[in-house]
Amino acid sequence: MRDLIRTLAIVALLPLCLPAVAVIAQDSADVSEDCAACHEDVVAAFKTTIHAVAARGGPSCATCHTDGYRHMEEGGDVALIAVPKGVDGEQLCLGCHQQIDAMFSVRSVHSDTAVVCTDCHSIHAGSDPRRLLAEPSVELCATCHAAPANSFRRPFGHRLDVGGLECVSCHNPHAGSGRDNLVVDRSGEGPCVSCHAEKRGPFVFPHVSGVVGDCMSCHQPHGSSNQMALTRSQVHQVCLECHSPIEGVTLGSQPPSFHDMLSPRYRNCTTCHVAIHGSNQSPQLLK
Amino acid sequence: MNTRRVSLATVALALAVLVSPLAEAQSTLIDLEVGYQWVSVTGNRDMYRTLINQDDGVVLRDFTLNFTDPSSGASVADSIRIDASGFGANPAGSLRFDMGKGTSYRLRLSYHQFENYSALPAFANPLLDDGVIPGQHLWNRDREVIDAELQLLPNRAVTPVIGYRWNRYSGPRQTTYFVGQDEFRLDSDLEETEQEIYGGILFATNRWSGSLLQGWRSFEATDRVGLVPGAGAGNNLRAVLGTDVTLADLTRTVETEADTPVTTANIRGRLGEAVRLTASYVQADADSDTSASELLSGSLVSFRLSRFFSGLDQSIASRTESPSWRGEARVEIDLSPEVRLDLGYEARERELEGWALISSLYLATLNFSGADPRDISTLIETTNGYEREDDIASARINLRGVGPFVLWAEGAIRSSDLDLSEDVAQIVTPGSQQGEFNREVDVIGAGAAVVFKGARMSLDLVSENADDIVVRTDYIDRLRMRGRVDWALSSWLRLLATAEKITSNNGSAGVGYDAETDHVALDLEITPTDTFLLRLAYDNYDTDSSVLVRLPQDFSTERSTHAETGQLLEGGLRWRIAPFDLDLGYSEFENTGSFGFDMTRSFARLGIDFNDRVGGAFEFENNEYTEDLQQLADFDADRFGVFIRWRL
Repeated sequence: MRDLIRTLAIVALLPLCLPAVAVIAQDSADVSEDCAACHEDVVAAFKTTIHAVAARGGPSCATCHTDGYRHMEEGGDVALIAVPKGVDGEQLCLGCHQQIDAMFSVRSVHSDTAVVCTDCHSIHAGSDPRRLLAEPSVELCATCHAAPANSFRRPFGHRLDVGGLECVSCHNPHAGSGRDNLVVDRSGEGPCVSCHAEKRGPFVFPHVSGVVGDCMSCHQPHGSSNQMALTRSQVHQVCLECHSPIEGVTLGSQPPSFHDMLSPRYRNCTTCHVAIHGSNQSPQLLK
Repeated sequence: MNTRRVSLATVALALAVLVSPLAEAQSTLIDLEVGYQWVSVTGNRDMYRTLINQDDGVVLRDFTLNFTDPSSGASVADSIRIDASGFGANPAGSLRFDMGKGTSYRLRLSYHQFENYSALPAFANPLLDDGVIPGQHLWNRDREVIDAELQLLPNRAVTPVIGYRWNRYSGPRQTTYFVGQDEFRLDSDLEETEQEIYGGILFATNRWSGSLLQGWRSFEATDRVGLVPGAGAGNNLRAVLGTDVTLADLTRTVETEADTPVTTANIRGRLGEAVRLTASYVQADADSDTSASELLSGSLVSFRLSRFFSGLDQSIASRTESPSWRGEARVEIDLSPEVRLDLGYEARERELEGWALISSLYLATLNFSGADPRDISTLIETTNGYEREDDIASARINLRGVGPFVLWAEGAIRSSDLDLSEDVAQIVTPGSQQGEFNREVDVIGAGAAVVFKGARMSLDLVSENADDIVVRTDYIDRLRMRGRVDWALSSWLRLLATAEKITSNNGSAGVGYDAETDHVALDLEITPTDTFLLRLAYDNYDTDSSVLVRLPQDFSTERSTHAETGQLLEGGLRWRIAPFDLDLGYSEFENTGSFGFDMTRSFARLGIDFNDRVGGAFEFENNEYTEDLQQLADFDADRFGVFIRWRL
């Protein structure tokens, strides 16, 4: 019932902004009118983008395509108009997007695999006029990253198909590879605790995160066959694989002998160790 | 909660209404799709809610308002963007609001809500073999996140910025508590809120840009716990030393507060034309305080006291201080237009000092002979702490212009030093919980990418070698190889393929860790016309891991093995024939190995444009989930939906 009320309220409010915007929605001439004579659809789409706003008072089409008068005079000869592509196009974009330049040029995994700006961004408008994405964010990433995209098909993990989360919620496509690719918050911590703030601590008795390893030491965030998105299908495997000091000195104590793994009770360690991410009350993470 | 959600949407949308008439709009795009859906589930509905969690009701599929005004400087805003989706009978919803005016200001607001439901039959369920489902650990909680940021004079030399973040996790949960040699089901009502406000400046000159931000983060949590009605017998029906362990009542309240000032600074810029520099520094000093009180009564036993007892009055006060900092500097040098050298260094340090005082009054205790009645008070003061330092030095060289190739090679040294100190009196089995642990990992990697005749191919290889391990699943050697092909075979046929292999191992005596993952994904896209897309996908995933473990009950060793073989078959079709828009999809994921299951999804959507502005859509979705070992979690669910679309 509460969902119904909430949704109906939002839906009822949304049309309120339509008349106001509709009344004032009129096109007028700007510096792209010459181009629009032939490329009407492209210019109309471009006007919906943030680039059109950024280009106010100055050239818009010509900013990237340079002077197109000879192109026009020669009846639209494509050889007479600049169409930035590949690395040249990348450099053109980075000429203005200096903050991206700083990220992109230093260890960008995409730059190193010959992926350039226009592979992901549709400059003349796309599915997202603000970010100029060529396709919706998740579909765009999945185009090349089929293996990670498919890993979300496993039953337990984060959901990308119901709204709310996108690949870029956790990954920065302009940054480096591997762990360097993860979004960090203002305190330099990874993307997990941005949402799962209660796991951030600090705890008097912390477990793995912060001490050694991180969330991915035990979890598979994309998708897992374990119901808690763990790296092993059975809970006790995740725990025992570290908590088995057989030889040498490793971190992780031996569970007491009354933990009989033949009993289902003890094969599910988190039945008792409920505060497995860290506790302020129990050294054994029992509460 | 709901009032707040609606209010937030109202504020954001009303803002759009208010500012819109003031602007001379040049381009406005509005898209609204809303409808109603019906869900029918056969089988385990709890499992359906855990995995899918769609419900009957109204759903806001999509609302988009995109407004740009490139021609005038007189309006309040020259760009407004609102995106909303998912609210209603859907487990997640998001609202994003972004407006700005050239170099005057930029305002960003977002609101996300996620329903988090879990009622699993097998997880942490000691009674599964008795057929008792779901397990004892259930929750039905909501997470809501608000982000807001205002930049004044964006892209000027100095841009003041202020922001706010609010993250709340709340709702009921059922959990267990181990006391008196038994486990009892508890109801928990939790409310956790993290808030952060920050402010500072962004600056930019021709050559240098950066930011200096100061934030204050606070976390407050209150968890109220009580015994589930009728759960006083616990789940262990065996008597302990002839005494049946029961719990008559339990109440616990835990309150936690944490404060963390966060300072962030970064700078990036150029030294000459050939050298770029980026550096950052973050300092976060977290302090937290917790107070907990617990009252319980019943017939209980404590082996620590070697006594029976009938009540416990416990209070816990704890405090943690955890300062941390992280600094990073990277320099990028253009040795020539085709050759770039990157050098980086990162240092991180985190400390923690924890202290807890646990005061317990055990009421009406008796020794195991049933004699010596008395109350016993215990006072435990325990401390905990660690200090961790990480240093990472790295170098990378990147070559372009070697024919159609991009080549790179990298090397890095990552070292970690960890010093743990724990109150050994509070460790049940002493050992391996404290001391010094050091590990250094050497990384060497190389890769190549090429764009040639419509095909983009890349190959990379990273090898890591460590001198020691800290936890037993750390590797000594790790090798990752990955290849990727994106090949446009013709204007209507595109093939994408990814192959990845990862091996990790540690052959040390007593560990014997060995893990291997093979992953192959193939995608074929056929687009004979602009209005037709057929996509076929195949994915195969194999992973095996093995490590020696010691069983606690008899200290014998055995191999802990985990194996998965996953196969995904997927097909999708999108066909637009005005006024119809057809979208069909089918996927089947089969996983065999340690935990076998099948998950099949079928989807169909038919959209119809009644005219340029109004359309409708019908949706059907089927999700079927089956587990190989037991059928307790299986479900088969259908969803039907009818939606109205309005474009302006």
